[in-house]
Amino acid sequence: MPQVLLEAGSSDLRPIVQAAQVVLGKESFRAERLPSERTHELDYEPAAGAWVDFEDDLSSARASSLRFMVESGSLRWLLIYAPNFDSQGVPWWSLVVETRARDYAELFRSMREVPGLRYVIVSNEDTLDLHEAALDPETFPWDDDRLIRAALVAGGSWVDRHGPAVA
Amino acid sequence: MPLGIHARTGALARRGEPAGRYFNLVVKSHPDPIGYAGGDNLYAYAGNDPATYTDPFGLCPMCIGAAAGAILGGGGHAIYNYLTGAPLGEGVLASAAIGAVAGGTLGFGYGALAARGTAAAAQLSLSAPAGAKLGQMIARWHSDLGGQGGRDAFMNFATNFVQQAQRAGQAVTGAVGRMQNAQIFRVDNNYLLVDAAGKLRSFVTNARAGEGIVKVYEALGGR
Repeated sequence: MPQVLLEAGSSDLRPIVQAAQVVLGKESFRAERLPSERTHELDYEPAAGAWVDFEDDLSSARASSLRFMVESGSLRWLLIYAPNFDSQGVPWWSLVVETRARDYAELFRSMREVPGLRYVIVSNEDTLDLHEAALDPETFPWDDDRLIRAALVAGGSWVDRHGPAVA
Repeated sequence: MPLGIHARTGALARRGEPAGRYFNLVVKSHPDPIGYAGGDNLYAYAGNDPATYTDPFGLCPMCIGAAAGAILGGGGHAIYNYLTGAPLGEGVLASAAIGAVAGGTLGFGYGALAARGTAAAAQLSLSAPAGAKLGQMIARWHSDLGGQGGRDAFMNFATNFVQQAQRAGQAVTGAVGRMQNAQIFRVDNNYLLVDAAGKLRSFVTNARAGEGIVKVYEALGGR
């Protein structure tokens, strides 16, 4: 069964939340939050409320991550991470989505349309190891074995290429 | 249930299973390997399977691995606490227990090679620190099992997964993508990738031949 991951990043939280909303659409999900003080333990707890509450939780740094477990369909889960989550050296907001669907094109397209994202990456089974320098089209790991497709914003437009992996 | 593993590991991978209980369970199932001095069964040191597991140097790789794992796990966590300003004792015992389990079970699985047991112990105890990828693997695990649980439960699950894969001879080492000396462990059609630095990198369930990590596994000599 294919396990395709989509990752998006932004210097602002709003585009990440918007992208999560676009991906989740009308799917039913279970939301969980990771209190900042328990980041290292990955100790998520149930989260209730509306999107505005989730966003506030993240922007106020009360939570360092949100997890959305999707209960049906091909979408499996979404994770939103705050910048420098668990001191991992990724200094931007990020969203990771896992789907069982082999056809990722629609998700990829809808995420790319969200204004304010720096990149949207599709990979096989695992997310790429990103860092600031990797977000330049000249230095991006286009030959990473896990990469299916990536789009980066460079000079105000998207640079969109396929990688060696297939979904 | 999509994961065949769960039925066999359910007792260990239950939600919130304390690491200490898992540690006791594993150690008690493999008694002292010093002949009759350690009990009536001379083969108990090898899990009653001396054809598969040997200890020609009499070094008890499980014990060495366990000790190394405990030191690496506990010490690593203490250092982490120091660096982050957390109370020094916080989580140290749990990490030591996880490290000991990893070291013990992996050292045992590898046979007599204490050094490899130690290296394997380092792998899982080093992988204990949280990270975005570990979070993704836990989410995937939750999705497959339809369950809940935190990092410790996943680490117990992963430890047991590696132990099973090694006993079945389903572990291969090599260059995986850009990672050198990474190891891929397989149980049924489920795969777990550990990099050379000991971090859990990928957990793939229900993979099919020709896909991603399966292709790599086969290219490295796995069957």
